[in-house]
Amino acid sequence: MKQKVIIGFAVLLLLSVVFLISRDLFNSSFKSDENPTEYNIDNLKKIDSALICYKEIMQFDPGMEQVYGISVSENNSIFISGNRQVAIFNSNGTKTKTFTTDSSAHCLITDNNSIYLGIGNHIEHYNLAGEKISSWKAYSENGFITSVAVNKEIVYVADAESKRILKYNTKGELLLEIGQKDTSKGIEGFIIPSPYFEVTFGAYNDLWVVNPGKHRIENYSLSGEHQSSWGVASMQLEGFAGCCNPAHLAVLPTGEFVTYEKGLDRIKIYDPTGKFICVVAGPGSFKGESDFHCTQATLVNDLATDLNGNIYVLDAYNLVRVYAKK
Amino acid sequence: MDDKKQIKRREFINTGVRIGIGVGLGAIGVVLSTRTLSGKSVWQIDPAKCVQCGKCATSCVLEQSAVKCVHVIEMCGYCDLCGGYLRPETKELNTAAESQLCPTAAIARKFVEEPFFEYHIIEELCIGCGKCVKGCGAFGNGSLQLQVQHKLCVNCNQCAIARVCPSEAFSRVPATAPYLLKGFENKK
Amino acid sequence: MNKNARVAILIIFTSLLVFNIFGIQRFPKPEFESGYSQPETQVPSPRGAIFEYLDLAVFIGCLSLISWLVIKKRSRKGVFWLSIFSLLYFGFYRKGCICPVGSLQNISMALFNPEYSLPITAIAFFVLPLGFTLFFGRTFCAGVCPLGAIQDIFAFRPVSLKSWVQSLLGLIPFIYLGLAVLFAATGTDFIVCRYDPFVGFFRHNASFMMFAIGGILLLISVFIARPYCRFLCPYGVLLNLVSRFSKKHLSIAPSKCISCRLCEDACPFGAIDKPTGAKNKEQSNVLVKRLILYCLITPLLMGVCGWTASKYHESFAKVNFKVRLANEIMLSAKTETAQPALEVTTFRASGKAVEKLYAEAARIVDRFYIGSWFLGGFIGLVFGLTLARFTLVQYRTEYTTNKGTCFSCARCVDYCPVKE
Repeated sequence: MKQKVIIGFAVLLLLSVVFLISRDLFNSSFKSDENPTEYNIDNLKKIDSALICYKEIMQFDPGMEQVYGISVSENNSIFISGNRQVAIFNSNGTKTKTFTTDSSAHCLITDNNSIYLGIGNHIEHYNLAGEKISSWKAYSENGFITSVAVNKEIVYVADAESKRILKYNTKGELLLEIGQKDTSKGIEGFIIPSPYFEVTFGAYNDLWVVNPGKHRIENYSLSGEHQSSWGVASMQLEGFAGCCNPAHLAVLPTGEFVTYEKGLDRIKIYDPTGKFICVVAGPGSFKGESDFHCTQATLVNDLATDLNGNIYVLDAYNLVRVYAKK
Repeated sequence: MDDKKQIKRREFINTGVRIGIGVGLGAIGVVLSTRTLSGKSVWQIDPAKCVQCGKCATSCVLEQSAVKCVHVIEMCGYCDLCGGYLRPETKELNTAAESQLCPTAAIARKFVEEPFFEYHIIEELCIGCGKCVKGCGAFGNGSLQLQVQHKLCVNCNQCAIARVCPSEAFSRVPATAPYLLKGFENKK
Repeated sequence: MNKNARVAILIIFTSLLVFNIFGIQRFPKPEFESGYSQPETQVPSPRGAIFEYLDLAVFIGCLSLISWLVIKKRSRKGVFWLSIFSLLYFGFYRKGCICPVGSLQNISMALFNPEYSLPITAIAFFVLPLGFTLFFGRTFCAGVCPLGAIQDIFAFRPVSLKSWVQSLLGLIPFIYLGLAVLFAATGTDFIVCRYDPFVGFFRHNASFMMFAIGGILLLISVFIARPYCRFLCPYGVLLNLVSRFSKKHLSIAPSKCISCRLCEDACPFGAIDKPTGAKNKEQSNVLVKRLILYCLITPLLMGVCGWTASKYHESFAKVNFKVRLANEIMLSAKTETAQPALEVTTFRASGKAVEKLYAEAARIVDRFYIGSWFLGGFIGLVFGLTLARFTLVQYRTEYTTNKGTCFSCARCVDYCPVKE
């Protein structure tokens, strides 16, 4: 009798094991348990809609495989560099001209009569017909040019690898290097943790350089002396978040600054003294999220402005978005 | 006499089936041996696919997950304001414990020189949750990456984390190149 | 909270190009002045491949030794100590992976998926025990399998089961085997590894459920010896079938059985066949008729079971990650749920085409449809043959081990008074 009870009990246990296993196996829903160690920056992504002072007025697809840099000329022609080519569009987004280059230009700038392309470690100068005028000697063999700025006679080039701003004349003769670290003079140099290093002319023909590791935008005289700077490192809206921001910089005709930050993908406006004014587009305005683990390190590949105060955003997903003041 | 015949017949059948099974086993072995891996293979995470969902910390069959954060220091920007080290909500920059992102304080920070800091993972403390990985990817260079640490991994036939990985980031890789770190070459 | 935004992104588009450009000179080192030198990234190597072959050598050694101990030496003591060694080595030291029980999934996955390549050790671990069994019986179960060894230790007070209970429960491993092959062949999961009840003890870690299952099985082992081996182990099915045709096998008596009945209760696994009575012509006629009947209804049974299983092929298929994902995405598209699962949001964020996923899922479901017909047919066949086996009576005049179910543990040998 006792043995029968034991057998019955043991068999029951065995069947319960079978039941447990099959229930677990065929339970087909995904478990939606919360992640206790989640990295949550939703609060930082929320932006008060009252702070958004620009609206998107136009977007067009340049029809290129990949886009890297954008520049807008005085007569509102839009220049975009892409996969071994440069395309020119009129202000409606209609393609007017396209020409090929030997390799892809990561950045470009137009002085209205010609185009300067930052291709790898050197600058190539093209006329508007797409003919190469000159190819400049590289400053550093492993250089990586991330930004170019131009006025009538000077070209400034930002080389992220050598961490220098290089001053050239339009013929490509190197006139000056800015950013040489010199502790005796208290010059810290530029801190470039990732390949984002921007240079641009301000509204008053003055030189502005992003020091991304310091989260600062620095002003230099044309002879390379550091004059002033602004910008604070902060996750808050007023500051620049992350290890190295802003990733892109442009200047409006009023002298206001347009900045793009990677990480918290936001485009913001600062006044010429560096005071935060408002937001052009906040996180969530673009497709996806920028993340260095993903192939998409940034969602915005470049910024440009025109004389009317419009902001041109080169979306990493091959789209040009144009924003105007509300 | 009859019995003996029967036994003989049974033996004959047995031998026949035995040879059949033997040939079958041999055939399976031979056919499949043409499709074997040249060497050993191990589980690894593709950082490009990883979404840092936190399941690596909880789904490994080991008490201490074999998945750990690896710091590819060659990619590090040595930033003061490190997205992988500091909590994103911190208003002011300081390195107090409440500012640290890592739930187990497994990231050590060392001052190198103005303005650079070196970071390294204290492996015994790392639980492989990927919180810092996400912070570093979003705000930094992505030098922090989740990887299966082969010192710890018992190389299960079917990885328990791979089964629940939402982004199918796990795969088997050759043991001669057992890491899929970005920005870092596998050295033997 | 928008989970879509929370879950990180896998945007794998054409933008690979931009990355490649960066790849080369992406991270120039900071200009250190304090003489700081960058430490190297530490990446410990996996256990060398040579050790895999060492494991294999130990495995072959154990198989040979156990076969010798069982067939030639007939030593229960030897078998016991070797099983302890195997438990320590393959179980606690090697953490139970890879074992022949699990390897059958690698084999079926490889057989049905030409793109899958498997380690050579997996083939060896699958084929070798079967090969040894073909010659010496299930000696692998006796002293090499760590799963068997851990249960064997717990067999303190084995009770014998009624043969019909044993046969009925004995159907479970066939179903388990069928499912394991189905899931492995469709590239879905390795369920035998997933529900390996003792590997948690070997690794000192498992989920609560798996510890519970392992614990329950060990508890059962006290009374019903080796419950996993007898009523669950899918590899045991193969060994059982192969062992029936083994060339040599453990015998209770070294020479002629004297029918002393001393060994009658020796076997904790109910694997000793008693002598049968004399042939009964009349009875055997009835049995032959019944056998013919069962042989006729077996195909019918196969058809019915196959049809039934095929009705459930979608439930089987939902175990597959891709099928489940496609299902979930379809559901959440229809019924705008507040919080789609993490897997769904991850997939959406990846930018992969949902149509492609649907097509792939449909293909897997189709494979499951065919597979479940085979699974059902196989189960039907097993049912039919189990019925038919009852009608087959082998006339025995001696106490013998049942070649199919005997684990060759050699316990019975110690009970036999015949020593020469």
